Amino acid sequence: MDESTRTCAMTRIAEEAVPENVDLWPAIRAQVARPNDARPTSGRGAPVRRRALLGGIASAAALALALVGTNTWWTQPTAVSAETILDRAQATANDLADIRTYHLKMTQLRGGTTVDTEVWYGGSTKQRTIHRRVDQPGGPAVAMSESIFNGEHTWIILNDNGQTRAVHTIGTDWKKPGDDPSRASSLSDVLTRYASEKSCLNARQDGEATIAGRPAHVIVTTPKPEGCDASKASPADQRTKADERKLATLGETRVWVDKQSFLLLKSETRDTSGAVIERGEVISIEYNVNIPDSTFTYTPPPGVQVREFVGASPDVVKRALVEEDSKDGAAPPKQP
Amino acid sequence: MDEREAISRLQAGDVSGLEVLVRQYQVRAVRSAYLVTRDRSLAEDVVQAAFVKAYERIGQFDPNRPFGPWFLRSVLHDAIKVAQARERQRSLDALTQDDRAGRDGVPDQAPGPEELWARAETAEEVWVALGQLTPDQRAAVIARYFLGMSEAEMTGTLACPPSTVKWRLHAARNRLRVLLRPTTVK
Repeated sequence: MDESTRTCAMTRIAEEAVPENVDLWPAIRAQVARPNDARPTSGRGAPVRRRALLGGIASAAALALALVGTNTWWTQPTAVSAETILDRAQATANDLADIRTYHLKMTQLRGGTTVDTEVWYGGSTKQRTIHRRVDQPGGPAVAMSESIFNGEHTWIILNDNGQTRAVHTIGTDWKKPGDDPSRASSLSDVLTRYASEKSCLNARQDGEATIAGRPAHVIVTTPKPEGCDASKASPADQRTKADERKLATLGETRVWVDKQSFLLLKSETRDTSGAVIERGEVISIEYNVNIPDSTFTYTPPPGVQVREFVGASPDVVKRALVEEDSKDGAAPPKQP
Repeated sequence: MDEREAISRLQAGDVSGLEVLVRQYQVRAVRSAYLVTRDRSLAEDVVQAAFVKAYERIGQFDPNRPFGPWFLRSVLHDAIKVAQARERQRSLDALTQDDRAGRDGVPDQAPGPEELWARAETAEEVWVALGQLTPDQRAAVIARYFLGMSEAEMTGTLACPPSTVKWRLHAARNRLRVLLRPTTVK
């Protein structure tokens, strides 16, 4: 093999592995936009992973900040750490109103897709959530997923392309989607979840607003310029590099939290250019409503295929469903 | 905006100059780093960091000189360091697998009708053989044959004296010659 052949071969290898459309500019722009002293200078990988973690925790932060306490200590919109906010939230948790149930409707815009969501919260073990993917807010559903939690029983119902399938699990420990307003356990859960990530964000109050008729605190979270300690991140945040690159452009997440319940009423995530990349907003919310028990039960209609799992872990259930989907070509269901 | 204007803008603190340079050099840089590191994500990280470093050090750059060699030198240098660090961590399994693949060479002069297939095999051969070189030998081969640098340019790029460059290239060529030697099909 002569040298020109080797050169051609190398060129071919490189062209196949790295196509012309590679684009590092968004990640580089995000990095150089930071102050000099805040830019990571250690070896390769660190900048990307650290920035990615900041993006990855945006949702967790929004959730955690939904539990923030009263605003008596926020007389000025000064920057305080998310850790401080959470510590203060914990201190004020005992003063929160007793909210046992709620019913809310919200709409989310994510990656060009609109999802209308309805949540019935009847306690930590009783929840029902319906997601309807729509072409426009309030329009007819083109796909639907529903999860019903009632004690040990969970029903996941999927409707796509007119076909309905259901999964019934008993004893599976699913992560439940509804924010728990009872505080005692939920704050602990959120703190636990946030503990490994809380050093990654700065947070500050940015005024007040009204969302769905409810007075709300507006809180802005931004990635700390110096990044965060990747070693503290949970395994769930060890994302792929592709994910990391997408998340590297995270600018800020702004959340609106109910001043009474501290539930999340609205969130908006923007990239570093200021463009909205994700938005969700509660349209209506009612507290301490009477939710009939029938809301948390499900009887499959005739002809609907039901898969049963007893004592299986969420991973086992998901794997089984993905395998089933790969056989019949259907889309895999999402975790409730 | 041409390269010189981009550099002038960047030196004046205008980040739009950096975008021009990124757009112009990112593909070539990532490909070069990929050939050294053999990992695309790693290569992109190296190049991303190199651009940020260039941004920080652009004040030291002479705008009358071409940006490409200066920048690619930094990329190759960092790619070698990353590849060396990673090779130290390579598992025995990976080494064994590479070694086995390295012995699976095929004759490099395939018949005409099967040219495309033969080219694929050749590329694979080169890829496997490059993997048998040390990162600095690999960088020398890439600088010379992929980036088309002269030995004089490589002296600057690889940050070592001409004699070392010559020696690395010589060692790399010899190693490649052995690795790419046509084998007898049993």
